[in-house]
Amino acid sequence: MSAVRTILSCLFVVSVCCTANVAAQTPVQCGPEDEENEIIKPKGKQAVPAASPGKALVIVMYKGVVGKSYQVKLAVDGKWQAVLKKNQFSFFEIDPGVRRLCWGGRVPKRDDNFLLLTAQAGQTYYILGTLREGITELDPTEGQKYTAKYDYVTFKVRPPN
Amino acid sequence: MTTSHSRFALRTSGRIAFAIGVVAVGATLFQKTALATSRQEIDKSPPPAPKTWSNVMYLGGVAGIRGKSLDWKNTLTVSATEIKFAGTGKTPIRFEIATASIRALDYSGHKHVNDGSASTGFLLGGLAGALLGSSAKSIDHYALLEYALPDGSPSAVLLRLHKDNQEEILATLRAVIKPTGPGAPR
Repeated sequence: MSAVRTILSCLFVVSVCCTANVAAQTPVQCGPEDEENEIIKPKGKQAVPAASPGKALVIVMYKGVVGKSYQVKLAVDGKWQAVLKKNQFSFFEIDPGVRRLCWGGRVPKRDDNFLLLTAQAGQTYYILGTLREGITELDPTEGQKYTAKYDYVTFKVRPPN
Repeated sequence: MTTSHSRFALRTSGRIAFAIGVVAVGATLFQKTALATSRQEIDKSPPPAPKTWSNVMYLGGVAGIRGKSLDWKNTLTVSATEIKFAGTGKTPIRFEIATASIRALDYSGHKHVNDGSASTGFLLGGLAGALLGSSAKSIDHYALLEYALPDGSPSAVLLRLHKDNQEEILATLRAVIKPTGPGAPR
């Protein structure tokens, strides 16, 4: 009995060590996993502004699936910049240059969740996120179709308990 | 006598199990170290002839190119003068990067649990099967090339490589990327 217990303990230790490895070495970092966010829905329709001088604008939209919708998030260079549920969009500004985008929250962990973007000042980038296919950049004309029918949201970080 | 024999057997099996555990933990740590993201060193040997591989995915980055190409049928050609990507599909992504403009090459090996292996293991072998299944991992290989645009501003490209071609592609890239001055290829 004691031998069985020892073997099970060893298997547990090995599985814990292997699990610790899983999240390591991604080419693009998401935001902090323990950060909790609250989605805020401003009243009325939100027009998408132009990027400020010297900045680029990112508009992110989440095309959900039928059923309950969970929070999904978009991180830029390791910091969450947008938190959404299905059929919502948000926007934020970024500095020009190479930006590393990561799609996180309640989505399957896969490499489609990574996207590199060479941002140029004054440009607007439309990013579409889905549950199954991660994130990709859309043509502005196509992106505007989503912002026309989706709800604009923003978010705040919940203080840790 | 029987009690002392069974105690001895238990102690021995316990030691064997402990040893297996130590070896497994050691192997895991070794793998972890070996997979750590590393800035690739530049090989100064003569540049090789152009080579083409399929099984390469494009995960964005190239200035002026919209979207990604997650099809393994894409091809990547590396020569001494340029790195050429040719996507597939209705609107294939294509781009070329001058080898001389490349500033850095980063490799990342992302180890993750195989989809469904834990649940398959559970169905086949119960708890022990699930434990073994969850330890079945595969590694995704990524190459990130940083390069300079004609105006000198930075850009980059993220590629996912296949387990069967990643070593050869990385070796070829290392061979063709040449140092071009301070701060360039690391």
